[in-house]
Amino acid sequence: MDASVRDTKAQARVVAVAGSLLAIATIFAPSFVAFRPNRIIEGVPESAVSALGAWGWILLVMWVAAAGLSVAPIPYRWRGLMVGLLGGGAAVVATWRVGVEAGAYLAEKGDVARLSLGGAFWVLLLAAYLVVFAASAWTPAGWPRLLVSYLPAMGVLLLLFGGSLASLSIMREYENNSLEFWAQLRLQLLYVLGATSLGFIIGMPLGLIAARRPKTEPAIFTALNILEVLPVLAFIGLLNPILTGLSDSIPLLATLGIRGVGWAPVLIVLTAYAMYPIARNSYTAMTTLDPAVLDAGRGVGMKRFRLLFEVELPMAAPVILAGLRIALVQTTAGAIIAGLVGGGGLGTFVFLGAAQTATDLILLGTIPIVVMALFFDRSTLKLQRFIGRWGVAT
Amino acid sequence: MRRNRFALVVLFIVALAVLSGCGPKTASTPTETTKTVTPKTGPEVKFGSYIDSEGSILGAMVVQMLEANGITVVDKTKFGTPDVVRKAYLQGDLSGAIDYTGSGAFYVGPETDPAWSDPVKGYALVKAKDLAQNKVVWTTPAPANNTESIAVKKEFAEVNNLRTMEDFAAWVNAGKEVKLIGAQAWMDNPLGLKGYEKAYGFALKKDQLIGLSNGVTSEFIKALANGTNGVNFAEVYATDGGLADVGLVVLTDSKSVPPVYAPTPVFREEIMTAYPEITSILEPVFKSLTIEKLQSMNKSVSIDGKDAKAVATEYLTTNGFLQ
Repeated sequence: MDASVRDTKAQARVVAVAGSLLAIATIFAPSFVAFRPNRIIEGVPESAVSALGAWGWILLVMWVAAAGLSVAPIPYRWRGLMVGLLGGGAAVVATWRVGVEAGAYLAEKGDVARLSLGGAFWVLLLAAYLVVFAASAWTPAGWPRLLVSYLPAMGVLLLLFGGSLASLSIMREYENNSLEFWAQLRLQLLYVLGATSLGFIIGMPLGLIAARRPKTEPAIFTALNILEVLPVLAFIGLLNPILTGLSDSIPLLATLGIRGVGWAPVLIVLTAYAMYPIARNSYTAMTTLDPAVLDAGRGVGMKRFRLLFEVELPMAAPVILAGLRIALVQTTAGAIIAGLVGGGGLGTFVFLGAAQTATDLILLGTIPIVVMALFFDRSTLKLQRFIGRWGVAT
Repeated sequence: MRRNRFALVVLFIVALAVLSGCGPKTASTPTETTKTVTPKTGPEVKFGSYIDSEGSILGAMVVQMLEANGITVVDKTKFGTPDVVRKAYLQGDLSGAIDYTGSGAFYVGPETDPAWSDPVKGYALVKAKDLAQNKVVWTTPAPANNTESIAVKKEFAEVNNLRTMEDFAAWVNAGKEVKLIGAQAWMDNPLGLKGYEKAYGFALKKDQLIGLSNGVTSEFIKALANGTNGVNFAEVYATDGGLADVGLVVLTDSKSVPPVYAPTPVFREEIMTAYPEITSILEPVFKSLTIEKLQSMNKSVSIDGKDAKAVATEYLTTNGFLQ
């Protein structure tokens, strides 16, 4: 075992202990769940020990054990397996029990009553994620790590789709919107992927031009900066008369559905916002290339285009991709604005929830956005590293 | 590196499951059963509404009624904020929407016309002017006035003998404590708070007001019910469903200062030319929608958390508008 691996495992210990302690705190925190007479009234917040009864104490024991085992002098492989399964298991148990409690509460108080998940519950899931994360670094690759990594997530998904959580307030919101939910989720994805792709197609060449022709750099980045800082609603408002005028004078645009409201202004605004990080990173990547490598390329007789595609772009790719990654995550969150201007998407739930002060409806729109953003962030980071290695290899 | 792979894989699995593994439950669209009518040829009707409870319910009613009569409808309910909805049906992105007669004061004006405070005259005015100026047809309005009012906590009203706007004016003029929350647009509006001040003879100071940029009355109601920042009066809509449930009462406005806001389905003229029967399809439904019925349906959706479409279907079937 070399020094860096030992370091990683020691660092993971800090994460595991911190996560377990955080989880212990959530067991006693006053806002684990809220029992609410209806959808709007705040209701009575309760801690895990008072709401889950004996199960609250079982959770506590699981977390204390996880914290203890994290620092116990046992081989890492066994430590990882035990801590990971304890931490992940505790998250699954907590989720399962709130589902059961919700069912019991509704059976007693009637269909209008709601059991909402409070801040402490979400923090508990986060803490479990940290602990599992650390534990997976201890377990050897192969089936033990797969077990530690997937089992908790599978457990929660099983509860979710097996219907054990159907009585929770957020699932009741889903039930009311189940048809629309998937359509709006798809729409949200289309906005994100569409706007980021367009931003890439326009932004990357702009960055390259700015790098190649230094005189154009101030003009290009001033323009992109102005677009970037325009407040989103003001931007859409400014586009409205322009798009309406265009749509009225060019029938083709009207048949395509490009109008002053709806998806068109949203896509344009999100594209404009996505352009900036991509162009900026492309510019930085191209201006910080090692001149010696370029000289070597020219030395072997490469012409401008071969140099660009075979040397410069492969070398710049990781940095350009980092810009794409920022753009993706930013667009994922930004696309909720479509809900306000007739463009649909998950923002529909966020804004309807805000209009009705129904927190769980807001969460129904927000949680998929968070998952999506994390997924895009992680997958592009992975791609970035992969291409980084590939770029060096070529 | 390895740790990232783990996180990536978990997220990927979650995302995959969320995105593909589980589609919507096989839906029994309430309108499907009534679709035995042969579809009519003609333009599709893109029908929208505001993004709130009442918009969701009334919008769903129009969608279901038109579909039941063989008209192809695209459900665009919960489309956006009021200004976005208005723009959309003027520009043709929507074919029609639920709108409110009193808004005519700002759409076609003049705001000073006293007709806006009268349900019959206000409707006649917006109907005539919007058709002439914008080719928009206002069909039959509901006999309900979703106007802006000022609400107080029930106990507070009883203890301090606050029942009417006259009582409120006296309260303000006696220099007693006032913290009123509402939409900034309403506070600056000559038919809103400014109109009340003029009609009842009182003037609120800046530090007695909390003006928010949006008009989300449920936020005002929440602030009043919880006494946030010392709020003791709030702007509300008359058809807000939750008032009684959170223990609030509305101050009576004997001079009917604000415009009468009767919810009305409006359509672009070419839609009404293609389907002139829309008027007779929707008229009995909207004529039946009294303020009590709207309040109770709004409550079912915003407080009890029922599905707006289901609430609409239930109303239409129990009242015999749909089979």
